[in-house]
Amino acid sequence: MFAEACAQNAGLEGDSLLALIALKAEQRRVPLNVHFEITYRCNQQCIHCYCVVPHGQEEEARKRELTYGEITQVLDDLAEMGALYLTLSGGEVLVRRDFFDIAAHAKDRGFVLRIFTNGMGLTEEQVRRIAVLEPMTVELSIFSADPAIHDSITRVSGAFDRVIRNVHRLKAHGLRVYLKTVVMKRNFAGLLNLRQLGKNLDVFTHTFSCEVSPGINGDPHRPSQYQLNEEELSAYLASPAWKKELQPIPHEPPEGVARQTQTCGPAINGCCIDPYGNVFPCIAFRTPLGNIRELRFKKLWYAPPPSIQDLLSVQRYADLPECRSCGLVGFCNRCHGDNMLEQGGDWKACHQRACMVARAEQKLYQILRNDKEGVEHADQIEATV
Amino acid sequence: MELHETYPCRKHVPWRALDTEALVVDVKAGLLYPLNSVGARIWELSDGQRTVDEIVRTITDEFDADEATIREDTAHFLRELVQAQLLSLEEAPRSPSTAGPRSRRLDAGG
Repeated sequence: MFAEACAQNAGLEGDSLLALIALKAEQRRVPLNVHFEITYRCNQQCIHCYCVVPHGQEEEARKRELTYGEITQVLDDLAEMGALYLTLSGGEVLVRRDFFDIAAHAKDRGFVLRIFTNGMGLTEEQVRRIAVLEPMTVELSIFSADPAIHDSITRVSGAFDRVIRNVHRLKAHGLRVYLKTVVMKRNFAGLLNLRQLGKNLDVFTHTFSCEVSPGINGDPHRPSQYQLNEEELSAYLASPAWKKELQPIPHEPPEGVARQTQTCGPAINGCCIDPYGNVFPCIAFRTPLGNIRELRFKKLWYAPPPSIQDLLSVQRYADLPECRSCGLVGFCNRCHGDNMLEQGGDWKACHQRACMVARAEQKLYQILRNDKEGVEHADQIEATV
Repeated sequence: MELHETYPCRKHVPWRALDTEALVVDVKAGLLYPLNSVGARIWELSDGQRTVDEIVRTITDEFDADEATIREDTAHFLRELVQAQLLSLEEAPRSPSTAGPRSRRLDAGG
C-alpha cells in the first residue's frame, strides 16, 4: 500500500515505477539476479545433470573451488553493485561444510536468497538453520511420484522417500518450498500423478520444464537421450492438464514481429558464477566474462570481452539473421546458451530445439483456433436457423 | 511520544537503491516494494539515528515541495512501513548496526 502511495507521489502507478527501476537496472547493467554455483559436487548423480562431478573426483573438484574468503569478497562486490536476488546452487550446496557461513554472509549483505538443494540429505538441524536464513524459497527437484522412477533418475536408492520427508520438514518450519520437475522420456508417463503429489504436499509452487541442458564440460550426455521428441512434446502441450495460455498468432509479417520481440538478455542484469570463479552471462551461456581470481567482479563486469559485447548487442530476434524472417518467431523462446552448447559455438544460428518447441506450439494453437472457430461457426449457423 | 520525535529504524530486510529509486523486499510476505525517489530517500535516512523531524527537514531541503505536504506524506509513508513491519519507530537513537543493511546509491552509468 505504501508503495502505491509512494508511486502516486511520483505520478506513477506501482507497475510503472517497477518498470522504470527495471529499465534503469538494465541500462546500467546492474547485476540484480545472480546465480552462484558454489560447488558441483553432489550426493546424487542425476542422469541429465549438466554439471555434476562424477563420484570419485569430488576431492579434486573441492580443491579447485572458491574459498569462503573468495566467495564473501565477491558477495560484497555484488551487494555494493546493487545485486539483490542471490541463488545459491550446486551441485548440492549442502556438501560444502561452509554453506551456512556463506549463506549467513549473504543474508547479512541484504540479498534475497533462493536456495537450490536436492533436499535428500537435509537433517532436522540443517532445516532449522535454513529457516534462520529466511530464504525467499527453498527449491527442490522431484522427478516422479513413483519412487522407483525418481530414484532411477537421481541414481540414489531411497532418494524419493528422503525428499518427501524433507519437504514436510521444510514446510513445518514455515519455509516456501518450490518443487521443480524436468519432464523427460523416463518420467513423462506419470506427470499427472506427480502434479497431484505436489498439490497434496501443499508446496508453494511446482513448475515443469521440458528442457534438458547439454553438459558444460564436454560431457558425452546428449539432451536428446532424455528430452521429449516432437511428438511427445506435442502430446505434452496438448494435454488439458498442462495446456498453457497460448499467445495469439501475430497478424504482422515475421519481420515486424522479430523487430518487436526481445530475446533473452544474459549479462544485462544478471549472471552466473561457477565454483571456480568463472563469471558467465547466465547458467547456460558458458563463455566467461572473466574469472574473479584474476580480476575483481566489479572490474570484469564493466569490461566484458568482445565475445560478450557481441552477446550484449543482440537484443531482439531481428538482430539474428536466421531468425529475423522466421515464421515461428512469435512462438520461439530460444536460449542462446543451450544453442551454443548444442551447436558447438554458433549461438546465433537457429536454435533447433526452440524451433521444434515453437513448431509444436504453433500447431497446437492452430488446432485450438480451428476448434474455436468451428464452434463459433456452428453457433452462428444455429442462431441463423 | 509524538511521531515527529521518534527515530525511524528500518528492519533487516533486503533492499537496494537503484539510481534515485529503491527496491525493498518483504521476504516473509513475499512482496516487492518499489520506492520512488522520495520514498527511497526516506527509507535510506531511516537508520535509527535521526528523528522524523530531521528526516522531514532533509527531504524539504532536497525536494521541491512545501514542508507541510512533506511532513504529512512522510508520516503517512512511515506509518505504512510500520504496518508492513519493515520499520520501527524508536524512542531513542539506535546504534548503526541495528538498522538494516546499507545499500550504496548507484551513480549514473553504474
